[in-house]
Amino acid sequence: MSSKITTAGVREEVRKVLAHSNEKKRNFLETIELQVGLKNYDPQRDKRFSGTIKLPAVPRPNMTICVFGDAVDCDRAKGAGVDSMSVEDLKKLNKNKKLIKKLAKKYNAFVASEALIKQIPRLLGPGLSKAGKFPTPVSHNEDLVTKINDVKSTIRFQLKKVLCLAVSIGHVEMEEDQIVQHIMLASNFLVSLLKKHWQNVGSLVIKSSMGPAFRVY
Amino acid sequence: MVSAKASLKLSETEYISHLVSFPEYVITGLTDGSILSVPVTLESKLTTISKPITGQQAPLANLLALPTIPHSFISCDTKGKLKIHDVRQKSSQVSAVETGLAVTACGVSNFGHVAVGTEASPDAQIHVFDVRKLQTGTKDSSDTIVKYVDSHNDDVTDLQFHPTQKNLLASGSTDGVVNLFDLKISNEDDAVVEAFNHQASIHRTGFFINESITSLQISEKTPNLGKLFALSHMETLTVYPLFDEDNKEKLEEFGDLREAWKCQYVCDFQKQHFLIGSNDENWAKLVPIIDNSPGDGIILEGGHGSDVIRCFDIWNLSKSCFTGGEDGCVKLWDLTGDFDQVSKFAKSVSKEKKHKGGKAVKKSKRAPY
Repeated sequence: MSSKITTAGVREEVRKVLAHSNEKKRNFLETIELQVGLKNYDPQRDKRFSGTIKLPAVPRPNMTICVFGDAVDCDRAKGAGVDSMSVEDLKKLNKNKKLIKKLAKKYNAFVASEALIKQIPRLLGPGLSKAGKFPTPVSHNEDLVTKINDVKSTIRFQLKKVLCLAVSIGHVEMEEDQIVQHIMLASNFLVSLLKKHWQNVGSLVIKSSMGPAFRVY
Repeated sequence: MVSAKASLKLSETEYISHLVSFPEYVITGLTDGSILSVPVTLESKLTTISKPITGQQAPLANLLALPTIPHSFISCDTKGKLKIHDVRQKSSQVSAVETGLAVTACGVSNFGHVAVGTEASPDAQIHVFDVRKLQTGTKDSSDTIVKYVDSHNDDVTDLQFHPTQKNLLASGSTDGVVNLFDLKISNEDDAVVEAFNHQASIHRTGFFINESITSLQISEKTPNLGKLFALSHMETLTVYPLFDEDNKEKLEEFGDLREAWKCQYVCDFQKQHFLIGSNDENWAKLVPIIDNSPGDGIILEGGHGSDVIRCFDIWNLSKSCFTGGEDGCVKLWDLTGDFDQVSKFAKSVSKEKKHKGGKAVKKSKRAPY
């Protein structure tokens, strides 16, 4: 299946997005979003279109992570300068709904040692699941920092009842090459999941948080 | 490789989204919410079981056979209407219950329970009912056995009861988590006994069980818990060990099945079989799960052409299979290659029926807890 967008074409549009963002600096780091308009697709009848994409680089650098670790992983987290909590720390929350909600709000995502993750529902109840932040497991064989970066660079996409969806693929301080790579990767992956591939795509648009939209397809 | 033995087009415009087979009839659910009954030989003697009133159409959330009530199946639409039908009594349902929930998933157990899962609006809820209460057609809040409202962050997409353990229910959601509930525990803070973060919207979850569960003989001897799988809408599959406190077993990641199994989509999982296919290359394949791993598959030649297969059911002691697709067709596949056995089986069933005089089979004595 050949891609209907070219690196050169996308690069041109990315430059426009970055130029606009440079013209008028904002007081925050603008995110770059890829918006997909679908066609010949009926969200009522066709298969659900949702999932996650792992990008090569972190699109949201400000994401905060907390590690629920056994002794080894708590040490590894400390070494990497990442917040961590031990089983004892979690037990102290005593399944208190308010405290767990507060914890869920404090971080964007959680990572837990493989040995510990099975106890999470029992220790914390459904609070984290409710917040959509049930931890990702990490084993001792995996590098903790790599795992945390994996979690940070995974983006979610979901088609609800309308025929368009948006995913944040980067921010305006990123290298142009990186943004182009992310757009190519995300677009081609999304299209591969559609049953009629590019025939299901109406439009692809990129824009920064405050800037105008530029059509790439 | 096997080819379709029979094919029947039910609709020009609608997809066939659900299908459940009985000895004499295949019950099909269309995307406009109508339910049609077709003879297993796929002769065009259609019976409309249910047709939504214009303007009130709601797509089906699920269509399932009820293992505890013979000849019965349950339909559940996205507006939360649960109907129990008898395949022998055409056009009229036995009972209907309005739950008033925006249902996105429905599951039935081998022990007389029905579970429904809802959209996140704002809570994605899971309600479990006693099927006998639903049969009476009345509904009040006390009929709900358990209700969990806090365990998912997004739409519940699949609910599967454990085939042999009546207290275990797995729920999958768009939030990417599969929760395993112990239904004996009504306090939600303690009810989730296992949770698995599959990290992508769940299309299907369920259990890989070694012994055949195609027969309804449920053994309550040694518990065979099997393993739990999670299949995402991106076709990634992971198999998780259950209640493995000491981390002795490793989870098994199959990754993206489109690459691993060289297909374009995964249709569904039924009776320990996955159905996969390619709508660009026009084929489908039935892949059995044996000892937690995929066995040799059977190719269904031609599949549903360039259309996606949406549902399937294995019929007649795994000798045949029905598929329903987005082309509005139902197809019957003979998995043995013995072309006479389908008609033989159909004959033997009708003989048996005559012999028994259509007597109602005794109600199951198994009482839900």
